[in-house]
Amino acid sequence: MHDVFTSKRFLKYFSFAIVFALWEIGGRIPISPAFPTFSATMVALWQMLMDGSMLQAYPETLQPLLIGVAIAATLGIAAGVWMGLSRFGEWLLSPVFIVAQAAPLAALIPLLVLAYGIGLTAKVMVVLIMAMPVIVLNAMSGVRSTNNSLIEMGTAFLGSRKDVITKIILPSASPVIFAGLRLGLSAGFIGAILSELLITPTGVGDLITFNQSRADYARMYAAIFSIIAVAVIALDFLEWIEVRWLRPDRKGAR
Amino acid sequence: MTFMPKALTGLVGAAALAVGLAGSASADTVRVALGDVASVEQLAFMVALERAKEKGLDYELTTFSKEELAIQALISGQMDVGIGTPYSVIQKSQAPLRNFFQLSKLVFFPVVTSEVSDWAGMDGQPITLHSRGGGTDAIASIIERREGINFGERSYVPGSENRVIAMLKGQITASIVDIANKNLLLSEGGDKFNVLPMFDVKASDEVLFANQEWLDANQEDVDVLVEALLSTWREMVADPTIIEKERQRFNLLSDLPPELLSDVDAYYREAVDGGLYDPEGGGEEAAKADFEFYTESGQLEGDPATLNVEDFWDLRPLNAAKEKLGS
Repeated sequence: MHDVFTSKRFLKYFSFAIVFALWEIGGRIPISPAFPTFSATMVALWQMLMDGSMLQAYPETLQPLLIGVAIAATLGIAAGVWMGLSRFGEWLLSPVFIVAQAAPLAALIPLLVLAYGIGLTAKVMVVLIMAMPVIVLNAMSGVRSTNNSLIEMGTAFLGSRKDVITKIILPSASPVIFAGLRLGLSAGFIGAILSELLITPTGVGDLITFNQSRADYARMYAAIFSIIAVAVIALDFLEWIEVRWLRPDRKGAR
Repeated sequence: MTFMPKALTGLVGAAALAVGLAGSASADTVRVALGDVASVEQLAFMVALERAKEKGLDYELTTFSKEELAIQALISGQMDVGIGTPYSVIQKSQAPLRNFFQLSKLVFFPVVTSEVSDWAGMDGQPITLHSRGGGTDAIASIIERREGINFGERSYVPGSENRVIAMLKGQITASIVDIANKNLLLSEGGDKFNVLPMFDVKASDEVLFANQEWLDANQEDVDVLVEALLSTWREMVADPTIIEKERQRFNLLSDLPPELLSDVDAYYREAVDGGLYDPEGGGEEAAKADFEFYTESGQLEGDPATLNVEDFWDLRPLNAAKEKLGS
């Protein structure tokens, strides 16, 4: 019995239950007429799933997200690994990504709209700007932090440069690269929603804005709740891929 | 699952914030929520506010980045007076909001690139509007029904001025814009654009609204405000140049560039000629026109004949002002 209450799974669901209960209580007080209860939000979520508005919204939101994250992952890891291997690469590119990471993106959106219009390109750019820096900088520091004695051992055993990179540096950097990917994906979610709220309301951003404008707050929070849930599931899925397929050493560590 | 504690602190933070904001409400200052950055279009309203201030109304103008956020702040009681057309909000929300003065009517113009010359040519074509569920969206739905066409994809870019820039840059091909921006488009774009025929709309674009409880508890303030509005609107319709004169007297929007301010007279002349302002402040007639329009566009539910004006408007302040100022 004791084991059940301290098990990881139980604690996970228990903490969910506490937050939802507090939400329900807050909605019932009510804190404000603009704050619906948890149960009302779930009813709204169910209605939106059934009437098709969610199913229509998600492809629109996920399109710039997936394109942006895919580009950010391929280019970002490549750039980060290069920057980690070569001082010249670091000197050339790292300032760009450090600045991009520090820049308040919302303030740059008018500039992006000016350059890329109001369509898909601008939204993909927002996702890229959000996701790319963490992926690049993590890949770089992953490569940099490779244990030097392992590299020395590789060269001592007459490993070629290619062998050292593919058999020593990349495997050693992969935990940090994956951490960067997960951070990049969650930053990409922020970027996708931000672009839908600040450029033109489409997809989930439109569901949030539209229901807010009609004061249908249960539906508005249902849309927000759904995107958080999708983001959490996507991150969990990425972790599962990592453990299952790419890093068998971490099996059981979950 | 490291996100849970974060969500928890977020929730607790939100609760603390809500309590904090509710506690800081001051009774004397009328908190007016603007859903858009104050510019030339809001000048008439700002002039009326300044005139009310001369009569002893203490007000505070807060600009929100989005109309939706302004409405939410009003429903939560963080703001007192809002601007918009909250008919569906009134029907849906638990907060007893009431309209009390019509600021402007929906005077808008459908503009398209010159390849299209009539409504039939717009069948299946994309159109860009202000916001989903907003006035221009409603106009588009009614056009569809009356002309027997269906627009293609509808996208939304808030602000006529932004849609006009996008049209001039060729990013969008059809939109519905206000009078000033229609004229700007025709003068800049010349023969590249067509204005399509538009049915006559009498419905409201912007209405002042507030919580009924607040309206009842602050009758004196509301009366001063509505009197100032009514007299300003009447003077403006008789002589649109009054707005620029009053702007200079009160030194309003003085941080705007001179090019924009030199257009104030022209803007108000066009707007008054175009019938944007009702010198009687809307009231029952406006409410009935709005019922017709917003039920046809789908934002209001029910039969317009059975909708009750008192459920959406508080007519007392406007009637009191009319009585005081004479009709």
